[in-house]
Order: sequence, then structure tokens, then C-alpha cells
Amino acid sequence: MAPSHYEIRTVARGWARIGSLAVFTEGVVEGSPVGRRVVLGLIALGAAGVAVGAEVEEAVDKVTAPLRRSDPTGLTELIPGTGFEIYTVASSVPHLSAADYQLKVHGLVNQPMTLTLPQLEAMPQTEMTRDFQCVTGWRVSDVHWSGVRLADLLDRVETQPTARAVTFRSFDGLYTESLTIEQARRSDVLVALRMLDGPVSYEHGGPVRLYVAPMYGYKSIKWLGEIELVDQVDPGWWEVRGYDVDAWIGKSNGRDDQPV
Amino acid sequence: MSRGHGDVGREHDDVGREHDMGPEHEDAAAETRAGEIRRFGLSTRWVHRTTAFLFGVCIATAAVLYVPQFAILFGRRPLVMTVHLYSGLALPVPTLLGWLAGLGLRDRSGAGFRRDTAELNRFGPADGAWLRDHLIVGPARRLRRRPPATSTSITTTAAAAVSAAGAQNSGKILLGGKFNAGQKLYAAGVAGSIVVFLGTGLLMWFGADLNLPDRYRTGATFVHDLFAYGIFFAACGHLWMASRDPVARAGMRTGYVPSWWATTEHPHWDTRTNADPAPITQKIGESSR
Repeated sequence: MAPSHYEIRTVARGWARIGSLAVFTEGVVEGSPVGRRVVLGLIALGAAGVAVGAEVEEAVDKVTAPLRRSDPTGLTELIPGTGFEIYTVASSVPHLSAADYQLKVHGLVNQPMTLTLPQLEAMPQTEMTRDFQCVTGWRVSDVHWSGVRLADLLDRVETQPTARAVTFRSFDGLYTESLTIEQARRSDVLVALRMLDGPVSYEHGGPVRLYVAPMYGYKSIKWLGEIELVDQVDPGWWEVRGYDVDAWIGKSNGRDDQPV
Repeated sequence: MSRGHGDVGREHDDVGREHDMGPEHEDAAAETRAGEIRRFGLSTRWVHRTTAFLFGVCIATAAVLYVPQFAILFGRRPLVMTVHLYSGLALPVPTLLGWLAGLGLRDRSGAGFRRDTAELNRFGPADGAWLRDHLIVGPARRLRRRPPATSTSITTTAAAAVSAAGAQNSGKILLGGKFNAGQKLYAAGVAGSIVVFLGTGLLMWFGADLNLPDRYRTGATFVHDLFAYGIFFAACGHLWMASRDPVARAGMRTGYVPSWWATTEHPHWDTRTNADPAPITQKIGESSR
């Protein structure tokens, strides 16, 4: 051993036993502080990752996008920063089959109605391919959506002039969302029946969810069970917990994402 | 290892020692127990326990937040987020308390953790040899394999230090050999990861309030996710190895390991500084009869 090569450091004082004697000693550990270097190295790695992580994630997303489209296992969902995250606020959400599903539309309307899935499917279908942007930062590009324009549905139930806003309720029993009547009548707001080239799956909010293209994901309520026309905006589940009520992508929640 | 027997032995040991050398030498007495060696003090064991518990909570809640199947199964996202946040914030606390508790205190009451972290930090020649033996695989390993010449020199130095200490009734004792290089690397990895988790986690949580640009918030999320994978697999390996060694587990549970285990598992551990000397063993035998 070459002592000059290794640092020596006093680390502990205390009673130790040597033979039959108890002695007060200084303990010495020999060697280089590799542990400290590993800790500092990891911190540097983490800092570098924060600095360039967004670009790396984008690159990873591009590479894995084709894999994700043809992945039956769902394992690609576990790649950091790619694909959809699944968020649910209720402890459990009922599984509704296509036959069981019903959408109640009521409130300040002349023709309140409860629509079944076949009835919704019989209405004119609108398709669009748009990104899904979450307020927590992740974005899924070029998602294929299809369903009934909310504007068409509002026409069908004949909203009254006093209706100024729409409240949406999930059949999970907890989650709610809201839009002003003007926002709800935009052509890029869908009552989505299909996404990702199939019926809306259970974890994505199936059989029926909302898709509000120009707003952050929390506006696109999953497991849509009820639409009520009301006279003023009733802030939604996340909105009473701090998120912006008008959730325009890139212009709210302190974020500057590219608009959809 | 019989837990009950060990306890009885220790009780008598303490009594005999107090009578023998007076209460001021109790620290040394705590180091010994029939046929066993003290590996971890109370502070180290409590830091390990609480950190492991908090990490367990963090990993379990992370799984619910991140893995779609668990998210659907458990739901309740805001509750899970809150638990994850606070267990994450608490994660470095046991280590910090362990360090503070060790300030100015003798080995038995808290300095044990400081002593252990100091040893975990330092990599000597034996650690280099261990890493070469364990981390280099395949043809490269055969090429690089060397005789473990370093072990003898360490023992020599230790012996010199011990004899010097014995002669003056105070002095320097070479500590070390209690951990192998893999355990040192794991400890450093966990410590560094805790700092990274804390930093990126705070950026994720307070990023909006700090008006941090989106790209750094995304970067922080990315790093947090990647390190989570790393620590998950590392912790699985840690548990896997613990599952295969009941003596090592008992060492962390009780603080003591049998001498034979110390000499086989940690040949560089200079156990003479806290081994159980023969006269004491006899005393235990007499007093229990």
C-alpha cells in the first residue's frame, strides 16, 4: 500500500476494546472519499438532466412513438416522459359497458334527454388528430380523436338563452369540469367516443369522455356521465384546488406550452 | 442465531463489566457479546429502519402515481400525491438526525452512525480489489485478476495501530472492513439519489410558483422518473441480497453478528477492536451458573 496515495482521516472517538483493556481511541478510516464523489456525481447528473431533460425526453418520445402505437402489452407506457399518464381522483371508477352507458343532458335546456351509446354513435361524427397536453408537462402528439361535437349536442337539447355555462360530471362520482357556453360551442370540443384508433378505453375515460383540444388535459373530463346547462361557471374539481378555470394551453397555469 | 440466548449473554456481560471496570467503560462493554461482534449501533439501525420505511412509502405511492394499472386500481390521486410529497420531504431527516445525534457523543449513543458513514465514504485498496473481483465480468475479469496482496498490508497496519493504542491506553485504531465496496457504492447511490429526488421533487412541486421555465420542470420530472427506476431496481437488489443472508438481517435487526460470519463475509474487518475477549466469556459462563 502506498500511504501517500490515500488520504487518512480521523472519524470517530470512543471506547474500544483491545485485548483485556478498554481504551479511549480515535478511529481512523483509510482511503479516498469515493462515496462522496459518487454522491456529488449523482447530484451533477441530476442537475444536467434537469437542464437538458426536456430535449432528451422529446427525442425519446420520437423514437418510441412507433413502438407505442403497436404495443399490446402497455409496457411502453412506462418509458419516462412518453405516452399518456393515467390520473384518477376517485378510489374506483365503475366499468360501464357499451350497453350500460348513459349520458344525461339536462339543466337550462328545452329538451333534456338521456342518450345511450348507440344514440351518440348515430349522431354526426367529427374526427380530428390533435395533441393532448397535460398541465403537469407531458404531451402526447397526434392523437386521433372522434366523436360528437359538443355544439351539435347542445343544439339537439336546445339550450335556453339563460344558459351561460356547462357543468360536466364524471360517473366516477367525484370529478367535475366546466366550460362557458362560448367555449363549449367551439368546433374543437368533442364528446369523444373513439381515441387512439379504437373505442375510448376504460383507463382513458371510456366509454365516453370529453376532449377540449385548446385547453389543458384536466378540462377533458374522463368517464363523462352528465352534462348540465347552468347560468354561471361552476369551477371544476382541480380548479377549486388551484388550477385556472380558463385553461388555455400556453396561456394559463403559468406555462408557455405550444397551443394545440 | 438464538436471539434469547444472546440477550441473556449481553445482560450478564454488562453486569460483569460494570463491576470490573466501572461505569465509565460501559461503551466498551456494549461492544462485546459471547461469540458475537457489534456491527451496527442503535443510531445506524434506526436511520436504516426509518429511511427504509420512508423509501417504501415513496416507492409504493410512486407506483400508484406512475403505473397506469396501479393508478386505476387505487385512484385517489390527490391523497397519494400528498403522502408521496411528505414522505419524500421526510426522507433525508433520519440521516440528518443520525448525524446530529452523533455530534460530540460517544460511539454507543450516536456516533456509531457518523462512524459508519465515514467508513462507507472511504474506499481503500481492499475496495478496489473487491470491485475488480465483482464488477468486472467475462474475459476482462480473467485478465485483470490479481492476487489480493492488499489484505495483508491492511492487517499489518491495523495491528500496528492496535498495538500502539494498547501501549498508550489511547491512540489511533484503524477502522474499516465492516462494509464491502458494493455496500459502500449502494449507500452512496442512495444518499445521492435522495438529494436528487428532493431537488427535482421540489422543482416539480413549486416550479409553477417559482415561475420556472417549463423545460426545467419537464427536465426535473424526467430526472425524477429515471432516478425512480434506478432506486427501484437498486432497492430490489438490496432486498434480494438481504433475503439470502439471515445473519446479515439479524445484524441489522439486533446490531450483532457472529464472529465466524464477520471473518467469512468481511475478511478485512479488523474485529479485534470489538471482538469478545476470552476472560469475559468465562465470566459470563460463571455468572449464569
